[in-house]
Amino acid sequence: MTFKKPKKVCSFLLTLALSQFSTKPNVVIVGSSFIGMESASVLAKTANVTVIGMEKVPFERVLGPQVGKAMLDLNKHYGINMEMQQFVEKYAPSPDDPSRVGGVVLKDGRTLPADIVILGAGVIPSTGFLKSSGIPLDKDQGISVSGSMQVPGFEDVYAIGDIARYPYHITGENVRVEHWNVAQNQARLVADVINLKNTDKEAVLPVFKHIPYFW
Amino acid sequence: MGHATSFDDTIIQGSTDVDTSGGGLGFVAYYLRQGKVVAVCSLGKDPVTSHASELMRLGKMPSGDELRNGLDLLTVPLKSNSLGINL
Repeated sequence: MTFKKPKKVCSFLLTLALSQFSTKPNVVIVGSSFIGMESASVLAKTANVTVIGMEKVPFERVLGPQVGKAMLDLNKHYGINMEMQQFVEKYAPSPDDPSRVGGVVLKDGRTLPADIVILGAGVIPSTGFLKSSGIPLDKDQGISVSGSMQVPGFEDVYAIGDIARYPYHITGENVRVEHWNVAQNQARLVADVINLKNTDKEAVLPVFKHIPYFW
Repeated sequence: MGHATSFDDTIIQGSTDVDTSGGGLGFVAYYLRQGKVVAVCSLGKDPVTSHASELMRLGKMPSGDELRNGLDLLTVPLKSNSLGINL
């Protein structure tokens, strides 16, 4: 089976995971940003869903408190239990099968029953394999590059997409943007850069000036 | 659209209130830094975010003050002709 759309894979896998239960399973989602909230909305009707978030409202840091409150209210309307400003202490095994999770224990002492736990608590670049390469890694394991995606000090080496920290021309900051369209468009830019360098070694290289965008 | 590592103000046009039937949401949120728009998100207001992305690219994004006064972003044209007249 091949899937062309990642979101449909996500829905399919979640549906598959849920199909093993004869009654509505308890799903606890850790994290109230995009991964957590998207999973919650996919599962709202077929599972008893709880979202655990550190913030006061979901997306608070990324989209601000007003939009965050709207998303909180919307989730509550669809029966999703929103545990905001809560923290996970540990995961408890199921009494029936200790190899499976049975509950999520919060720092306030409560245990939320859980047949499935989804972790949407954040990601970091998986660049550990470059540790002894000589390529310097940023504090968050990203790689800082020029506006043309070149890794400084390494001829013909580029870094793009989720791992790449590049100069964002709108604000003048160096940013690392985990949107799929940024990755795709940086790939196009690098292809142009490589082709240009092949035809004219002295060419002025194009710089990434794309506006990050996703839906 | 856009990328705000931080923002010091937010302008909401539309509604962020969920009504009893689960509807009622429809908004554009502008994230500002020192009065300048650095990011936009929207719900139920397509194609405003696409339009915003293009205005940002062209350097034609209006100021926070104009948006605070209720300016509808979709009325801000993307193109102007060689005489500088907006199309």
